[in-house]
Amino acid sequence: MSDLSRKVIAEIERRKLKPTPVFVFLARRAVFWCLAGVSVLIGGLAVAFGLFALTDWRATGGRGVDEMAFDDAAIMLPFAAVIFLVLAAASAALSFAKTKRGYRISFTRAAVMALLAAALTGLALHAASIGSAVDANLRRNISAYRDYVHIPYAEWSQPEQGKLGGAALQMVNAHLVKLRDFQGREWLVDIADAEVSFDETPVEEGDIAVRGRVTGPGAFKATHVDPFD
Amino acid sequence: MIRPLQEDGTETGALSDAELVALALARPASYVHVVRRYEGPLLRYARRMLGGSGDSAEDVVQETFLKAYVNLNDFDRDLPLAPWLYRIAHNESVTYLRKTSSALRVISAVDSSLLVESAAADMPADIALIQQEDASKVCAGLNSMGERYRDVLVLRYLEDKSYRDIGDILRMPPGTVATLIRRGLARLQELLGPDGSQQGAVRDE
Repeated sequence: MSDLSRKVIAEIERRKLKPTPVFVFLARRAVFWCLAGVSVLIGGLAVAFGLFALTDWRATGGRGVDEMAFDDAAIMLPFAAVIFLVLAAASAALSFAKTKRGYRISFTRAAVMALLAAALTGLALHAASIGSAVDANLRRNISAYRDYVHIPYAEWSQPEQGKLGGAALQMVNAHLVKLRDFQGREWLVDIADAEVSFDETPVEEGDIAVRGRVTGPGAFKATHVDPFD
Repeated sequence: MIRPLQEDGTETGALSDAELVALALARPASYVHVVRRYEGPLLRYARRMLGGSGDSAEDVVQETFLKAYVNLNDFDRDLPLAPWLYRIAHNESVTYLRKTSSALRVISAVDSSLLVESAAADMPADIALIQQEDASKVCAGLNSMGERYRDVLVLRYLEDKSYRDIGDILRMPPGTVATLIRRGLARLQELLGPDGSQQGAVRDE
């Protein structure tokens, strides 16, 4: 036995060293894999939410951004999701680098892979309407989001359910308003028996939210007319 | 040479690294075979890392083997044992240098000559000529380079490690290893260029 090997064995006995159990290393690696997985999932949620924000924006029926209520905040949503996605991808790549062989892949490549994984996850989540669920959850729990960011186009694009929103274009006569909804379709809204909650004419008000019922193709009988905001 | 035997009479020299590790985990005394197999290369590497001090190199290698023993279950048995042990030895050497507040690691004149000789195929002929003419100039050139470059050049041309092994030892992608070696050789050529002027220290970017 060489001097060094004798010394090493003697030191192991003197210090009573034992190999650390394998589960400790497995747990440590699992933590980093979980961090990477959670980061990809968060990135996926950001993608799904960004896609929802974009489709919700498109649900305005081609209205210009400048015409939208709270347009600045609304247009920021997809970009906020992109920033979140990039942060999540970086976090996933850093976590991946700490896994057993993660260092063999460059940070850039790992980040691109994480971005792709998050994008695919986001598409799947979007297909499963998770973006909409995130939006609903934020609306329910965060008042700032509800008050300043969320624009309820979808909610007021359900004429069959009695909710019709859009821009009042013209007073055809004293009781009949020509309205273009958020999908770009035109309606004649009868407001003769409706309770109107503002003093101006609907055309002066601009965007309005009408409750009532569909009475025919492109015809709506209003019971309540409110400003759309 | 006396070959170490297991209880069943098998020579441990015939065992793979993974089998040797499994044996050490089952019978701690068998760890001696791991130490014997790798003490030579690790001592040589530690001496290079620590600038030739024999005693401190032995201390560092002893700590390396003790740390490796405690972390034996972390060894990936699909990979060779050498890069894993080299990585621990590298880290232990760096820790030792920090603890003792030693200055930058120094490559000896002998190692500098060996390195340039080994790297000759990857460098222009005039560098080899300079090495023969002025070994101290080569030595100064290597020692003025950043640690990242020197680490990969030492592992590649003195320890004869593959890009994959160097990546495993220094925990970086093989592509990064290739880039550092290419840049390191280029820097060396600049430093020892035809004008012969040492262009100042080249540190990590």
